[in-house]
Amino acid sequence: MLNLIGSVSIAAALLGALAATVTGIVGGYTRKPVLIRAARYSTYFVFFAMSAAFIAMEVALLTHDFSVKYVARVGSLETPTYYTAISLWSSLEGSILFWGWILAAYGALVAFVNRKSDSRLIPFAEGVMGFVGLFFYGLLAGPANPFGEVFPVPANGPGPNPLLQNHPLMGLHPPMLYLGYVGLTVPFAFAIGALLSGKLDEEWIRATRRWTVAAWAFLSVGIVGGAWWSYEVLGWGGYWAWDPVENASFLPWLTATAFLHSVMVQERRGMLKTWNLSLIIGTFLLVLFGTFLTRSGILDSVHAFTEGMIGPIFLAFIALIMVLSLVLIAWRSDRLHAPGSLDAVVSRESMFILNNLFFVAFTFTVLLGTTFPLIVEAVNGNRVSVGPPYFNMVSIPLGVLLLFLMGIGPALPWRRTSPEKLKRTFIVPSAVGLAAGLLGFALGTRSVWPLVTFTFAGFVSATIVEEFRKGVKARMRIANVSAPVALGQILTRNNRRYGGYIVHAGIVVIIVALALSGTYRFEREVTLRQGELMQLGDYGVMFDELWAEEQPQRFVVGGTFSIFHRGDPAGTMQPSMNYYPNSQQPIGTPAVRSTLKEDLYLTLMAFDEAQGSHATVRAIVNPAVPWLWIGGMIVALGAILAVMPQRGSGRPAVSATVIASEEESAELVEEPTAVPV
Amino acid sequence: MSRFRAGVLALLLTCAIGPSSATAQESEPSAETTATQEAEAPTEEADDRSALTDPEEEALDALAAEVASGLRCPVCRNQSVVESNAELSREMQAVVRDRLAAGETPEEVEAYFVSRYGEWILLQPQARGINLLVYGLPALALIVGFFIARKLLHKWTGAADGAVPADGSPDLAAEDEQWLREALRES
Repeated sequence: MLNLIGSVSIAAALLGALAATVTGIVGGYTRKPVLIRAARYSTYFVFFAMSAAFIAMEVALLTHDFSVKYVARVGSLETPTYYTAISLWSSLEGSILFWGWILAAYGALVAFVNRKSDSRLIPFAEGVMGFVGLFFYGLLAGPANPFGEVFPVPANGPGPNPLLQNHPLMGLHPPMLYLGYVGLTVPFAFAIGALLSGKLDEEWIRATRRWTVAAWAFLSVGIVGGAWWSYEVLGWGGYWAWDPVENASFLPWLTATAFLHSVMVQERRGMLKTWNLSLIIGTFLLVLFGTFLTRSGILDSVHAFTEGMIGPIFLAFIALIMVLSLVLIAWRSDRLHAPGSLDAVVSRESMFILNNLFFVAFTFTVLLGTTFPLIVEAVNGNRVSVGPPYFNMVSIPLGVLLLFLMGIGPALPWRRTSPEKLKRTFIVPSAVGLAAGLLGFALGTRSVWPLVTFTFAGFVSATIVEEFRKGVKARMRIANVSAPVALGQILTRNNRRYGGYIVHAGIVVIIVALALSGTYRFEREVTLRQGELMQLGDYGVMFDELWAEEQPQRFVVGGTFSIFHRGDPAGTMQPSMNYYPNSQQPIGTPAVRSTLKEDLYLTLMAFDEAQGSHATVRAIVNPAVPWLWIGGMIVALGAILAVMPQRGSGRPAVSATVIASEEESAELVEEPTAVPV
Repeated sequence: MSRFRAGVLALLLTCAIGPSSATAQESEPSAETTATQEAEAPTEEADDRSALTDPEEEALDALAAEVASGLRCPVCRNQSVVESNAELSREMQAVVRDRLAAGETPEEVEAYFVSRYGEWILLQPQARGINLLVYGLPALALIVGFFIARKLLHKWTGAADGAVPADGSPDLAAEDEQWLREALRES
């Protein structure tokens, strides 16, 4: 029954997407109201059909209907309900279904929000999202069908991949990543809509700004959440391994970040039109590439990949999107030409251009490193590895350069500046940065990159504080209010700018935490007898006893360790090993004791299984790691603020000149002679 | 302790009746080779290590960890030998330490593992042959990109030269002045 509902729903979604594609694009050209309406209703229809398929699959999972192929693959009677519900995204077909459902939801939301808009872009955007949907629903109807019928019906299934049912965060970070990934389809669809319609001014950018920021924020939270998950589950004490799967989420994040910055140049100056279109198209291609990379099995081996059908189909779709986009850009090249003009090299515009250069170089490097083993294998059959040592070597300098720009860019005014003003702007931040670097040196840091990082982080923090101070001061003068009220007003009236600064602050926190945890981490691995104590920095770790517990879906062996901090008792920690019937290797669950200063991280490595009299434990002191998660939350907060609707006076919120002028109010007030009173 | 022993017994049962035949096979030869790794019994040596007073030993451990962090765990997915707690990785780490203790340089230890597993075992590709591309191309891209950006910036600032007020006074766009005037009137 559920097989049928699911299959019919997906077939219906496929037809709806076809209708949306045709009516959207034809309606966009002819401007016939009936077609425009048809595109909107087809988009709604796709969402209802995909929701039916989504619900059918969840019901099948939760009721353990093993006649459904996907449930037979990932379900088991013993898996706890929570993990059963989220096992939708634990394997290929389910995650494509989830992807498709989110895509349908974004489409319907775009159609609904813009239902009264008479913009020429809307039907085109609906058509493009329909076209993308055709591919995903086509996959679900054919080679990645999760609703296939299994006969005879098995009595039980193997359960999801043990790694994916070992921590509750698994319920958070994949949906966040998918919301980010798929959300980037929206600006892509509007960009293609702009190319199709020939309406190549800034409208597509303004119409999608908040969608892009929201998708970017989801992606950021997804990436940080993924790091957190890997820290809490994988047991090696790290949070980022430059695994191809991680890189797949990082690549579109890099280009989307570049895009968020470079569109501001187009909004202000009408420049970089082709560049911005290319960036968002590239971002969408990287989203597809990431989905392909993580879902086609190509990472395990080129040969395994060519045996399946999904991989080649995916690759063909990526190639199709790339070719179609290039053709569209070439076709519209006459309308894309915008004469570039800048007042000065030392200006915010040129800092955005440098920012884009570094972000794109970063993207290229990570992409090259991720695919390099495949390239080498294809060229000469050799197998090489490109791992963390390589990625750290190339990404630290680029990251530090970007950090530096983050301090320069926002502090420079648009257009031009004078040397005296430049000096005035940067003298305090430079001093703060230098002090931060010296402080790091005084506290014993001798490595170059951490010291440079601390210096630049101090510099950037000071410029952010300075921006807030100037903004509050300007607002106090203009609106004649007290400082806290002024702060509230700049946050709500100019939320895009100050939300952006809060995001920057979160990124600074993350980068400093990365530098600290990368530099000062230390660890020890010791086999302890019962009652034996070992020392690690300020901590003492004493092995009390082993315990074992049988749970329905797994068997757990854990150790209880008493913790002492500077000699004082500080509770117990219980790292464990989990044995799943469908995994040969035990899956560890490390124990983490967090303070704002550092984490103590214990992994049970081995134990005496006969007597339980001794255990091997790896203890790691990981400084500043909690600040990674805090920084992620600050980024999310800033992004939420930035997507809030603009509040304030009755001026139209979308008027670019108003936003832009308000951005400069701070600088203007600093320059009393320039104020025409 | 009986609680623990009963638990381990249950574990063995779970493994034996589990659907994974590979697990079942592994548990057959002896209880030692179940998925559990047997901890080495604490010995005098272990006690010495837990004391950890010898700076030379410490330096050796640190060097071994550094070398091992550049080696790939052959049975894991994208983990280095130092991070993994797979049995093979523990053995490889011991080999690294022994070879370093015997006076080999880190390069010689790496060469030994390359001769056994192929270049794939190194997490950072050696800078030779086709691998040079993975080092050269990013640098090349950055340099080329930088010159393109520089050329464009020159072109764009040159195009604007005529429009710039010659006195070099702060160049406020008319729209900004307009807005500020409104804002001031509002207050």
